Amino acid sequence: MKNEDTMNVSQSPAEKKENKILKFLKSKFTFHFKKPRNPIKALKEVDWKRWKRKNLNLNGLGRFAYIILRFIIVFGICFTIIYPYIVKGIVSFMSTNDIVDSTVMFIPREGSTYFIEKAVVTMEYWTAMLNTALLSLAAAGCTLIVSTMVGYGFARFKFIGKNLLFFMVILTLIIPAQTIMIPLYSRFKWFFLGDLTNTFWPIVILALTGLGLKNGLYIYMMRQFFRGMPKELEMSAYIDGAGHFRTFFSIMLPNASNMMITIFLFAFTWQWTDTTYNTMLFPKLKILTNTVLNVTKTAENVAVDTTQQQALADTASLLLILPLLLVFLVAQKYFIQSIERSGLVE
Amino acid sequence: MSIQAKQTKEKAPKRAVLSLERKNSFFGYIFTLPIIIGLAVIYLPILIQSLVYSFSKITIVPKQGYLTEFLGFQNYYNALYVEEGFLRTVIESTIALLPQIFVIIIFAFFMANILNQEFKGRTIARVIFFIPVVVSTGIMAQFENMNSMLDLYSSGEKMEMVGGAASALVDYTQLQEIITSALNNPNMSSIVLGAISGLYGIITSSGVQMLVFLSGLQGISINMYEAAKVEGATGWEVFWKISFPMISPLILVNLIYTVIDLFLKADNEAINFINNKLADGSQLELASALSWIYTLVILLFVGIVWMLVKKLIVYQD
Repeated sequence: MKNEDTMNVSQSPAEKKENKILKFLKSKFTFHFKKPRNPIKALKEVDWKRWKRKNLNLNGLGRFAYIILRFIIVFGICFTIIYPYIVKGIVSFMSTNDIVDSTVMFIPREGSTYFIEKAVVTMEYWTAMLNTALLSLAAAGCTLIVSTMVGYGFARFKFIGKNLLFFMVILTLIIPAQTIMIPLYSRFKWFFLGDLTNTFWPIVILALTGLGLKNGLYIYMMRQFFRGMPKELEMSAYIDGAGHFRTFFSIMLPNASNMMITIFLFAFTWQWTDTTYNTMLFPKLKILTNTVLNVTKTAENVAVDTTQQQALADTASLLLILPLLLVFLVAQKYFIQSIERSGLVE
Repeated sequence: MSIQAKQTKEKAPKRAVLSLERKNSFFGYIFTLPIIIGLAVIYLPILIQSLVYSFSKITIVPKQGYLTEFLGFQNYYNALYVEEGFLRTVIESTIALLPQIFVIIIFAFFMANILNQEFKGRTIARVIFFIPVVVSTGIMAQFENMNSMLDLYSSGEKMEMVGGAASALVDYTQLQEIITSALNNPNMSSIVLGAISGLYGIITSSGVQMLVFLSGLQGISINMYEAAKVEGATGWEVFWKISFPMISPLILVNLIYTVIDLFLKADNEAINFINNKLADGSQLELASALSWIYTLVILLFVGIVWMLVKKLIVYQD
């Protein structure tokens, strides 16, 4: 209430007050050559600042309320993210009776590994996982090497056609893979060395030439990172007689390790779950993204009731991402560091 | 020191400077060589070939490849008028994307600011926030759209007393009524309701954007904040006068990334439409015409966003 009053006083231009202000301002500004600002406006500003300092600062109760609100938001979102995985984890340990039993909540009454065993068999889990891991490793490795090199090239060198080249890199991100799918398929199907479909080679070749999955994004990230590094580092290396490659490998790369781990993590996990090239380039390859669909397709599984199908699909999708979650938990330290240190500029 | 500098200046002929530049530009080509080869040998020829396919009739010759026969705009005509479901799908999915784009950007910006603050359990929160970025892409996005036990949980069919899932935390129909009456505007309320019901989708698809904003916030020099503090700025002022202008260039990056990401997502209906045509295999020329139309739509959209937002952004230098 009190604050409203002061606001009102300032807003209603009482003559007495105005004269007082003018006097005050004259005494202040007579020796200045600058014209004094509009006195009413000046007073309003002062008043507004005072009011704000009193009421909009985050001390005491306001601060406390803010902390509570922040906790609710952060906790709520974390819960929303984790909850589906928790449900999937619980469901995968239920027995066929548990999933239809409406009294069973989170703790399975009987409990069995029935769904896990069934999912492992139908997905051909171990073979498929090994293949997927190999494919993702190969793709992520090639992607990492290429995007680090190209990103450095874009960040530190001037050459004719650089902007056009960078524009093309961004264009590869924008143009959907479906657009180039048919000629891509024909290239690899009738490759001069033989039929390359249903092998790892298409992915490896694409990754090595910087055209892999979201490679443009990684190049962009790397370029931004290297641009943020101080130039003095390289200059001192050059002065000490190191060549461009030596500088790159022994000065720039060690500093970029966190960013490289982040990019490797992204490339690895996104390749793991990717379905862009499945139907055309390797429909018969035994990788998880192909075999996991057996769960919903095979006649044996379709025959059982929908609840069981759902439980099986949940178990299968959890098994699919379990290795990824483990990889992420191992790599998260470097990942979080890369967020924190990407602003190396000071 | 200065004498030495002068001497080297006098001694160094102009040619030496040029050759250094030339050397630099040579190494620029060396470092970007993989992508130059990729673009020149694979990407551009394939792109042109795809364009040719969309204008012709494809017949498959066993063990050799495709044989093309020029047709003109026939495929595009078919794509737009015969295959009438496509145009509708593209328009509908594009319109459905619009509110999502803004919600994702605002959400990512907001959450990046929160994650940038100091609080207990920040590291754990950061790890959890980025789980969806790593995990729920590609096939997982499709799996999440399929029926799962989670639906049973959240619909209350399995157990009514568990209000666990995000959608079941608040009774959705009740919420719907509150929001519609509060906003008094059917368009606005449908956007807000869409955002709430798609909360999980928004969280999962704003991870990279959050990452970009967060690294931008980390990159702001501490000196600026200290100077503002000395001058007596409040947290609110610091946010709008320092944090916001400093990371505003990233808004453009994020906007464009969001647009591309949403347009190319595996569960986008237009993408699904094209994928089905590709998997079908009998009308490959039609599929390439469809994908070229879609490509043009995306390019147009990205161009519009770029033109609109570029003017609003403050660059530091």
